[in-house]
Amino acid sequence: MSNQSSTDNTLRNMRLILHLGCFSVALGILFVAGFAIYKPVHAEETRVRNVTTSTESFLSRKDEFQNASTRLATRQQESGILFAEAMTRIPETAQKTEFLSQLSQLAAATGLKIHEFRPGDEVDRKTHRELSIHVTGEASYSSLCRFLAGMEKVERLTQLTALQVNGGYGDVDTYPVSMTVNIFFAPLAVTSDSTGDGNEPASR
Amino acid sequence: MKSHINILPLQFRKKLLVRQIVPCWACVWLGVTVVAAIVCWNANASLADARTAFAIIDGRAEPLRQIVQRNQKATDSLKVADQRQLLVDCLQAADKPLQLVGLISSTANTKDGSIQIQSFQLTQGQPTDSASPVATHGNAPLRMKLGLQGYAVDDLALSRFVSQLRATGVFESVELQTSSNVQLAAGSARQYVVECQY
Repeated sequence: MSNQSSTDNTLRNMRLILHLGCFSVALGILFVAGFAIYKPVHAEETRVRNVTTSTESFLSRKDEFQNASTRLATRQQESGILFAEAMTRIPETAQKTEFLSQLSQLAAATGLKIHEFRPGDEVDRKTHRELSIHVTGEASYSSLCRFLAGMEKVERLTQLTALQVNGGYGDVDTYPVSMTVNIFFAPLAVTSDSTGDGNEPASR
Repeated sequence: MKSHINILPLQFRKKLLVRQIVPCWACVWLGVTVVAAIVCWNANASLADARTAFAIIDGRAEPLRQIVQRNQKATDSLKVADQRQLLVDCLQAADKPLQLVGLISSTANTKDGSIQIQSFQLTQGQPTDSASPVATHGNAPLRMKLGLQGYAVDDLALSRFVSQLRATGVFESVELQTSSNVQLAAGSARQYVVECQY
C-alpha cells in the first residue's frame, strides 16, 4: 500500500513538473515574439509617427518659409551691388599689383611721380588682414592735393597712416612726398550653420 | 469501499502521462504562437501604413525642404555681405588727409608770408582708447599725429599760427615743441616744430 502511495506521489510530481515546463515553453514563445519581433517593430512605428508629426508641423509653416524666401531674394538682389562694391574695396587677397596699377593711374592723372612702391609685411587683425605700402615720390602742391583727393575715390579702400611732405627744391614747386598707405583684405567668412534654422525635420 | 490498484509499470505510466499532457500544451503553444503571429503581423502592417503615410508627407515636404535650404544659403550669403560691408564701414577713415593739407596751408597762408612750412609729417599714433574692447578688436580709431616744421618771421607770427591751428577745432592738442633762432639768407628767423594730435 505504501509502495502504491509513493508511486502516486512520483507521478503527481512529474505531472506538476511537466505542466510547469510546458507553461515555461509557452511563456518563452510569447517572450521571443514580444521582444524579438513586436518591440522593435513598435519602436520603429513610434519613431516614424513622430517624424511624420514633425514633418506635418513643418509643412504647416509652408507660407512662412515661402514669404521668407521672397523676402531674402529681394534683399539679396538689393545687397548684391553693395556686396560687389565692398568686395572691390576689401578683396579676399592682397592684390598688390592691381592696387599698384590703380595708384599709378591716379598718380599719372594727378601729376605725382612715384619713385618707390614698397609693400611691407602683412599684419593679421581679428577681422581682416592689413598690408602697409610705403610710397615715395614728388609732386607739386596742387598735384599732391589732387592725388590725396583721388585716393579717397580709388576703388580699393585705403588708409593713409603716414604722410610726409618736405620743403621744395629751391623755387620749383615740387615737394618730395613719402606716405604709408594701408590696404585691407579678408577672406570671406564661412558662416554656414549646417543645422539650418532648426525647422527642418529629420528625414528617413 | 473499493480500491483499485494500478498494476501498470511506473515507466509506462510516466510515458502515458507525458503523452497526455504534452499534446494539450502543444495546442496551447500553437494558440500562443498564432496569437503572437497575428499581433506581430498587425504591428508590421501598422508600421507599413505609417511608413506609407510618411512617404507621402515626406514627398510633399521635399520642395519645402529645398526652399529652406535655399533660404539658409541666402541668409549665409547675406550675412557674409553684411560682414564685409560692416568691415568697410569700420575701416573707412573719417579723417581726410586732403582736408588736413588744405587746412594747414590756409592757416599758414598769411598776407605777409610770415609762416613757411618746410615739412608736413602725418604719422599714426596709439589707438584712441587702448583699453577699450573695440581697440583690442583691431579696428579702433587711431590717434594721428601731425608734425609741422618750418620757419616763422618771429615768435609773434608763430604764436598766431599756433592759435589759428587751435581755433580750427580739428585737433585735440596743438603744441609748440621748439622755437629757435636761425640765420637765413634773408635775415634771422625762428625755426619751429609744432605737433598736433587728433
